Amino acid sequence: MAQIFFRRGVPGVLPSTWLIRPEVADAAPPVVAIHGLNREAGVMADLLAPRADATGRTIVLPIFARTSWLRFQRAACAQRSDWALLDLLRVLREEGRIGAGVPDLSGFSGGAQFAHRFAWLYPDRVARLCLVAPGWWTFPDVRGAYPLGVGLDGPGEGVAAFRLRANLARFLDREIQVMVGALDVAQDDNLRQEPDVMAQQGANRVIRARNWTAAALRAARKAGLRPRIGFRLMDNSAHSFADCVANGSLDRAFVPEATMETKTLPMRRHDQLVEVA
Amino acid sequence: MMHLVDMNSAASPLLAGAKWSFVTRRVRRGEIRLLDGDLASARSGDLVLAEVQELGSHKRLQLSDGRFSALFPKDRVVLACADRFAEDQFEGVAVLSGEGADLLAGGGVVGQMRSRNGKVKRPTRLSVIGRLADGNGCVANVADYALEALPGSRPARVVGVLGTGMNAGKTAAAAGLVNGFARFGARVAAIKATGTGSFGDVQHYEAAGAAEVLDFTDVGLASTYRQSVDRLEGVTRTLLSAAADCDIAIVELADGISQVETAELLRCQNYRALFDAFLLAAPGALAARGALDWLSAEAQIAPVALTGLMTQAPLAVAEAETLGLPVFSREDLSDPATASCLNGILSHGSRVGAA
Repeated sequence: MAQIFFRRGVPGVLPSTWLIRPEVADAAPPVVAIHGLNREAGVMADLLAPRADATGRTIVLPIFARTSWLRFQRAACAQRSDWALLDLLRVLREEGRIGAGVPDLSGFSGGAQFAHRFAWLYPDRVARLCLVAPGWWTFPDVRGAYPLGVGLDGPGEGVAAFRLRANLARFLDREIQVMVGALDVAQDDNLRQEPDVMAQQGANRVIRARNWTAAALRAARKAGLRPRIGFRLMDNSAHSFADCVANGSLDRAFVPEATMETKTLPMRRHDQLVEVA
Repeated sequence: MMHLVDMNSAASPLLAGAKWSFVTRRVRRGEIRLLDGDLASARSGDLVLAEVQELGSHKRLQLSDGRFSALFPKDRVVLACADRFAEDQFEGVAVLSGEGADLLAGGGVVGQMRSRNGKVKRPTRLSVIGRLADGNGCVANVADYALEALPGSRPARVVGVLGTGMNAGKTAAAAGLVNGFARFGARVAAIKATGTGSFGDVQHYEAAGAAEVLDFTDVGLASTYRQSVDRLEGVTRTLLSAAADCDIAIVELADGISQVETAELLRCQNYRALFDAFLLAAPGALAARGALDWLSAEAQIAPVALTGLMTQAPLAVAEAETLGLPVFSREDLSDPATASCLNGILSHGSRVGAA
């Protein structure tokens, strides 16, 4: 039976994390599962634990504490939650808790916001993506600066825009599963409703997920790729991870079977291990 | 004051207490036995024992162990005879004379000054005691202690950092790249391929997180000024081979792209082929524009990004961005997200675009 461990982090430096290790681990790369704005990583860990044994994969569930990474979902935010995840994965590798394979990345709600932005910034550091019901997205669209799009909205944004545009094809050249509950149509407090977001992305999470998927497919084809981007509506599911697992088998998409293609990181690093508690 | 010694006299009495400079750090001191007084035969790289006579521009010496040492009159110092090219300091040549010599660089380069920048004092003046030699009387040269080349091996990726001139921000940019790629998870080599031996740059690279730090002093040169293109190409190849266990090498070329050796190297197709990409550091947008034109016309080089001192001024950045390249500050370069982006460009080529 899979075991769930808690690894304490360092505020502002390294996120604490839940780690689910299967009873029989194989060499499959880990899955990193990112919580939403409610930070209920523990609930997710309980629901995902059976998948560790079913797939033989270690599951990493970082906790981006409000005190250190308030707007973690933006990834390249002021608190740089992207750097925090890079550091966490490096430390877990150095400690031997996960292997060297490139992890799959799955996110729910705010976690899906983070996941697609992180993968866009670090395409070589992520294998498959599972993006579930984010409140809003970064579109492959120059009409709007990051995190809305990849355009320029003023001085000083050139670097951010360049990075995303340069990474676009590599970001989209992967298996991306977009999912959302069919009942996830409420305009709640966590759903961005500014006019520019509503106009670009739509009125609710279902419409936004469809629109982003369509935009990603167009961008992938324009980049000369054969896209592997899918969209799935989960029946009888509202904006609840537990709902989506119970009614939409989200756990299977969140922690899929490992593919035969077990990648290793394109770069290696064994020094500068950060020892934390 | 002039010291003249007989050919092949014992070195140890005069070497006692001498300060060994940075450019001599690879020398196996136990092999040094004799002093050679034939100064007229001095070649670039020969080891020299000298005595400080009058302090000038350089009041400190960079020691072989990475520390500064304040200089005092009558200090004995072990240096390397070499040429020097530095627009903001001295131009000098690898010539020794019984009438005295000049400390051309704080890393330990001695020779004769030809010209100096009007803003700097005269060089620190030295008396040459003699060239250092082994027990057979063979004059020791820093080339005798060079790393050996491992033909054909090199890191998977090599990025060159070029500049419009001295103090354009090349070293800061190179260190930023080193830091960014290290934080991205790469094993990074930092290499100073040309210039004058100095520990400032290599210490900057070390501080940035480089797993391997090398410069031309590791392969037998105290300075690259007035060295042949063939030799300098061999220097870079050897340095890259010594860093072959790294994922990526960041290679800084000293001075500006139009400096004589740098220009010749960049015009050489075989040399350019050692690199996967170049970044250009400039103090301003106009200098960047001129350098891009020169690189295109003279060397068929199209840098992937701009950087340098100009990134401290938002107005200069805005102007430089009109040149069609990203403009990265040192902070941008030390961001692993930038390393991720550059890694993609190096691995897959740039396909910048958006729907």
